[in-house]
Amino acid sequence: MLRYALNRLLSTIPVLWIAVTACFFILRLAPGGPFDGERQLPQRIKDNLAAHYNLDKPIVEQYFIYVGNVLKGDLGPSFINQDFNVAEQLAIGLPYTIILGSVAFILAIAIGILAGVMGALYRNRHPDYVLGLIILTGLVIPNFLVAPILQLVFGLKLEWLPVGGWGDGSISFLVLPVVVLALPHIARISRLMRGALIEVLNSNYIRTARSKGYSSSRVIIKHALKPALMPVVSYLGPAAGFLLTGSLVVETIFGLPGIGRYFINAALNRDYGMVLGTVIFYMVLIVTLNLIVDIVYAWLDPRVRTQ
Amino acid sequence: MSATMQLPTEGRSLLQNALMRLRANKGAMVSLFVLTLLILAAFIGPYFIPFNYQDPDWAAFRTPPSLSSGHYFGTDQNGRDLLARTLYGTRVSLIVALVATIVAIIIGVSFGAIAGYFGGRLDQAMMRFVDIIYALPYILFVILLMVVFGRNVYLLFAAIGALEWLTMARIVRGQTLSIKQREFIEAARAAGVKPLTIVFRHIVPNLIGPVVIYAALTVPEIVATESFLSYLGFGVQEPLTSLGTLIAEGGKVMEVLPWLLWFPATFLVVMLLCMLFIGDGLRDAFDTREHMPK
Amino acid sequence: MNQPVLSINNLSIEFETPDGLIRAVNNIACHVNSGECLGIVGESGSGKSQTFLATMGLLANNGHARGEVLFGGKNLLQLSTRELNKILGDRLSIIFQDPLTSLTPHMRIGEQMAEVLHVHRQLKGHQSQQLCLQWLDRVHIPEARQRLKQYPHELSGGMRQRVMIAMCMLCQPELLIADEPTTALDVTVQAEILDLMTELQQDLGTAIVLITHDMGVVARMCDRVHVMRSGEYIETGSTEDIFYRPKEAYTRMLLDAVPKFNLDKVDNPNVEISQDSNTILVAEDVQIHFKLNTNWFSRPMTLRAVDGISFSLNAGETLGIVGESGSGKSTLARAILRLLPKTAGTVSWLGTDLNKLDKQSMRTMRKDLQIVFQDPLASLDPARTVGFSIMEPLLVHEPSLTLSGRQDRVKAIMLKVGLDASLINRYPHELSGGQNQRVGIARAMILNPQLIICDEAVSALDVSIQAQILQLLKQLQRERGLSYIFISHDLSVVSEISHRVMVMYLGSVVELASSEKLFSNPQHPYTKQLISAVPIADPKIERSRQRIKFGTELASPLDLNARLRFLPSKRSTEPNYRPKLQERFKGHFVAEHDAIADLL
Repeated sequence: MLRYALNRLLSTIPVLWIAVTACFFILRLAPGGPFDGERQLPQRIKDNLAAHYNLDKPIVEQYFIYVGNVLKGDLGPSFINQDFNVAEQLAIGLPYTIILGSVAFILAIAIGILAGVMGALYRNRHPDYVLGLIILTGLVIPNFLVAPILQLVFGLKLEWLPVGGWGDGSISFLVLPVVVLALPHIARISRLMRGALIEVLNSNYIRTARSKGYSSSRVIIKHALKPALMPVVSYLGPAAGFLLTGSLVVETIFGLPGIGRYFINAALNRDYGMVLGTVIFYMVLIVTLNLIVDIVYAWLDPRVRTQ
Repeated sequence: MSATMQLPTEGRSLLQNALMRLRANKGAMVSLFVLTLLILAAFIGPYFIPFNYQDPDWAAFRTPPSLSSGHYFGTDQNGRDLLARTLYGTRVSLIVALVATIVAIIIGVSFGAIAGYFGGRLDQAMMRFVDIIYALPYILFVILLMVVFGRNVYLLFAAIGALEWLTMARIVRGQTLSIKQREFIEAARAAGVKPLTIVFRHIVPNLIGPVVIYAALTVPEIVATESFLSYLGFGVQEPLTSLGTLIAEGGKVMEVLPWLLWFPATFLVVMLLCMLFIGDGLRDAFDTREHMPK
Repeated sequence: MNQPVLSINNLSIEFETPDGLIRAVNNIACHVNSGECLGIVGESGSGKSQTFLATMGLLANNGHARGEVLFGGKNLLQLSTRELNKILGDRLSIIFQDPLTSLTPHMRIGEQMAEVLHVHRQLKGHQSQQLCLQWLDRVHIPEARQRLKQYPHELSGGMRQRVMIAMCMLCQPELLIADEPTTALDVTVQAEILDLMTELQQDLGTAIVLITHDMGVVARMCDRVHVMRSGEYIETGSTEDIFYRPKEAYTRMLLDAVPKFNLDKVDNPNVEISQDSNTILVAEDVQIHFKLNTNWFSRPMTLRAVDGISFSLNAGETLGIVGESGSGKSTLARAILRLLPKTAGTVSWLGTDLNKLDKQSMRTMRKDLQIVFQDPLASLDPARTVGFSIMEPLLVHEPSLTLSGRQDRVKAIMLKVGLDASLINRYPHELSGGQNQRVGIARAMILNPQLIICDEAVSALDVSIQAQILQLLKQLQRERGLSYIFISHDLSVVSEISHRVMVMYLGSVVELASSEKLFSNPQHPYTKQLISAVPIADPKIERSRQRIKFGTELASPLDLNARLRFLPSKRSTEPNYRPKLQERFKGHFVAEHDAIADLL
């Protein structure tokens, strides 16, 4: 088990390295730069800026300087916002994104699994149809459409919840963004869970368990649930990624000062330092989550471990 | 020799069986019908309405939908006809989806089939490459590309298609590996059939099921992705438009000009819904497990 | 033999399917007395398993059972789930066919066993563990204490089936239902599992219902038999009655279809080979090794799937190759045809070394060397018509033929193998298993080859179909002077069709002799063990036989030590020694082994 985890950990290194390298060269080799904005700067100032940010050095040298700094935890300066460097900006936005993301993640897993189990157990009966409707909504209506609708209904018409912002940080500000963020994942997880559980319940070892006279709750909880969770768990890695990209929309629509919004702004303003820093940060987060998911997967299925 | 006199009975292939099952699936058939209407409307419709998507009607700014004005879907703040814009947006979304899906299928199938059939080190290297790209948050990459190379519709096609092929490659490779193991491939080798002939005669025809299913699931995903990017401002740009752009604009003014949100939103949702049903229908139709006698 | 433990009256089972209501079991009645073994025999699809799944309330959701199933004075079909659950796993237990998928994969053996005791006996902790250990010992599982901590996938098929039996026996049920309990296992393992079941039946008086397709197993185990066909019991009687005085034509057919395997006199019904027939195929010291597990942490291992095999084959001769799973027999077949690369050794065909041929000449050579595979459905391309599959070799080897010329050839060969030519445009999934196997044979035959390798060619078929296919193969041999290499795990099938038989064990030959000599006078201890393990479809002979056993199940081909299992005297002195094949009598080769008395 430990060996397996170690093996997986080692294999994440090339992933990160390639990602950082790819991002770096895409941005550096692109025509134009952050100082080619509308205001034409005098050449001397440009040169000074370039020297300051090491942009005058050969690109390979820049690359090694950058990677060296990243390894030390320094993501470099932001080219637009001179007051904070990239790491500092990320630190400011991080809590919002993390709270939003983790609450939505937990909600999606809990409701998704529960709904999936209900769907499988009440297959083709009323609870399954209700579930089907939720799934459909989550899958078909994109989050950038759900968000304004919910804002309209619960914020403007019913005035139950704030339309946006973080306010005093109370839960009411969190409700809508979290729901919007979690909805598609609730749909996908419950769909996966339902399908997997139905398949597991048809398997030979479930027949064996039933032939031992176990109650259906015991059969489901002890014998069926763990294997049925496996497709869900393997979805959670990519889901973490989708959740982060979802936060791009949600933070923008609800005006939350998280990393997603910084990223969008930085991208629209061609703040390469910030974009690169954010991508690297996201990547570490996603790769780590994938690693955790793989290890959980191995825990669920003893066959993966000994492989 | 009476047996030779008898006319051969026509058999039904698995593909024909699957299409028959699909035809029996009402939800999928209704969706197919609606989707066909949408496609026709998007591509032929514009020739039948007197307005185009970019020129303002100076007589009608911010008009709500009405039959009398001829603006059945109303107009926007710039006096442009929403019906024309919605149809145009739908067309852009469909073209992006189609082109990107084809790109994904071409790259994915050849990559996956080559890796799967030739196996060994080549397979390992190729799949490791896919794994690495797979682990990257690809939306960020698309945004990165759009930022770097400017917002260009063609680039958007390519970028989305070039990233969607990963899943296709994995599926095709997995399928190829399992087909390669089957004894009928060995039988063909034992008969002396050449490797490349085997790939095209025996492997590729057996890939149709999974490829069709996955393509059907990819199309709505790409439509949604394109809308998402356009919504964020990284996709299609004014005066061109797409459903995502229209929804983004409509969302900002939904209190005062609600039709600007509802019409494009309905088009998008109906389109995605139909694609979802067709995709599910295809999956059920090609899934032989459920139809095999136990 | 007092009163029935279970009696079934007027039981009917129906399934709702998209094609309408299907009646799988039609108004049957039977009973099982305590301490007896009742056999239910039938071919696939006869409804034999469904009867007892219904008894236990385990039918699929679309199935419905009507009638009466009395157990302990109660009608099981009318009990509430709660009441039924009290009986299942406690007083009434079942073992399923496939031990690989019938245990929960993520739970340790110990947990799964303890759960039975916890639910039905409210036992926990030490007491429960002791009982589990006792039962694992009792079903002859070595190192029981460690097994409790293992997961199902870490055990071999035979071990898993033992665990299944131990789990069933924990609560000492009155009735044990065994649904094809040994079908997925090797013969030697099957023999041990059957012995174990007999032991339990005798020691504890457990009644057993044995559901099987194998007449040999019935002959060995059962007191009474029901023969089932299309959902009905068509004949019922004591085992002796059924075997020696069958009334129904179907029963007689089933019995006739079982390959005869009589130890005293193997009457060879095969084609005579003329004395002057010449050698066409020679294999010399063929070795096939696979590299395994190239992980970062562990050293790569070499699997010696075939470890130095030599033999020759004459024109018009059938060479049978017998071995259990892991013996390397299928690997050898593929290497002969150069479908797999050989690590060492040569195979020459009519004096030409096949290894030295370039791809093009090898392709031409394939015209004479064909193969028929085990799984009839898997060996045909599902996307192509059977006509195309049969024709494909013509595309390669006789490209000048016109379309109609090809079609005529296909139709002719289809008639030859007993297929209606009107099936030419059908797809494999539209044909039965037997028909598909005929398609496979037609494909192998269409080029008029001189050698066909049959790799478990009849193993996936019902006995009656099996007999037909064997008949067809013999007929074709008579007409065309073909040679066969016939590979099977089933000794009785091999004995039926082969002139000479080669017995393989862990990648090497342990014995090679003519069919008569090998079966009437086996020399090597492994051959003896194998032969004595095969159940014979004759209750008197079967029950009076002496079984020979050397240790437990087949060892892994990765275990180098296992190679000297029959020559342990060399283990200490020469651990890498490979037993050599010696000609003990004329034409009868036996690998070196220690004296049988020392091995026992």
